[in-house]
Amino acid sequence: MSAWLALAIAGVLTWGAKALPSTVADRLPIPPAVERASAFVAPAVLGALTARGVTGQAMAGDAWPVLAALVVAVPVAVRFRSIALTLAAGSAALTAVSLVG
Amino acid sequence: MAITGRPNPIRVATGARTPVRAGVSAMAPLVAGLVPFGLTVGATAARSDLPPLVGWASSVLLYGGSGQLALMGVLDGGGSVLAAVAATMAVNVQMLLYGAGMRPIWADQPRRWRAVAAYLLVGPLFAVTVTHHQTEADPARRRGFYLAAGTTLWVAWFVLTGIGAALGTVLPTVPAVGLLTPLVLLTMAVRAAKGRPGAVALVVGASVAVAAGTVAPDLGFVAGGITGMVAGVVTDRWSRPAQAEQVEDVADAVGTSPVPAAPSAAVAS
Repeated sequence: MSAWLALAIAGVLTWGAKALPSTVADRLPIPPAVERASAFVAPAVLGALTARGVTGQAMAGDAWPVLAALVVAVPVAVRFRSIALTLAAGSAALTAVSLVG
Repeated sequence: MAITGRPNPIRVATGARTPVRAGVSAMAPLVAGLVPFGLTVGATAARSDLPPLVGWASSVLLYGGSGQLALMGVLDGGGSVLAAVAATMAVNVQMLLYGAGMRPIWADQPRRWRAVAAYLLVGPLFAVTVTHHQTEADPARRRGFYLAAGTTLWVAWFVLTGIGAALGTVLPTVPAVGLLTPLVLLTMAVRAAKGRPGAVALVVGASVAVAAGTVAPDLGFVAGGITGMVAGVVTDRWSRPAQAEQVEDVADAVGTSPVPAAPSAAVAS
């Protein structure tokens, strides 16, 4: 019973955290500095998400293949901005270093 | 009648596919990358001493892998309801960042729709939505894309955690699959970073997330997001006087009055 209660409370609070900024807080006047800062939410958060994912993969197993994949994938992503090419380059590097190691 | 108007560049860029198809296509590679994580969350629920349906139900009621793992971990360890909720919210404080990021994007959407749509909002959906909405201005098509991508992820997550719960400990580990999501996110992060301030926001956000993540992975992510945002603002402010001086120099050279400095690419995006 307590597990269901915890799940229900956490579920409502999580939904509130997602909805609050765009439903309630949007009625409030936003200072220009905060408005300007919101333009950088996407690159900052996506960068942090990427870092967390890569770190998680590196810590879950051998870090070298993951590092090799990153070294190859970052220039490809910057140069071509293509998901397919980045996936291909990163996966190939990961597989190659895993096989060699 | 002669057609004299120019084609709408937004339609040209994104109109080849329906919003629903575009949403499903955009989410597909991220779903593939989430297979190991989804199976792991499901298996964690199966291995715990919690009631059988709690783990799977958390995919619906909580909907967020890290938060689900935190909740199940505390409860399985004998923690109280308060402790479980506190741990979950410490992890899910990142959702505030997603909500804040969607605030300007959803400005032209009905408030009720925003409240409902927020339920689906998680990291992968935030990533594909921000990227897609840079080239799509039509609110109706934006809604279609968001709902399609979000529903695709939601259904996939529900199925994956269900399979994980059913298979329990018998799960293969394929490293290349686990790296798919970070690589997709990497590409989206690069696309979202406009100009030098955007690049600084990305690099600082990622660096701080790695550094702080060694202490607490999910709080490290939040610290990275906030620090990266601040770094982008500071860089943007520094680069503005330089831009204005360049405009004045050019104006002096051609003998015209300087025009107001254009906002940086990151602010304009």
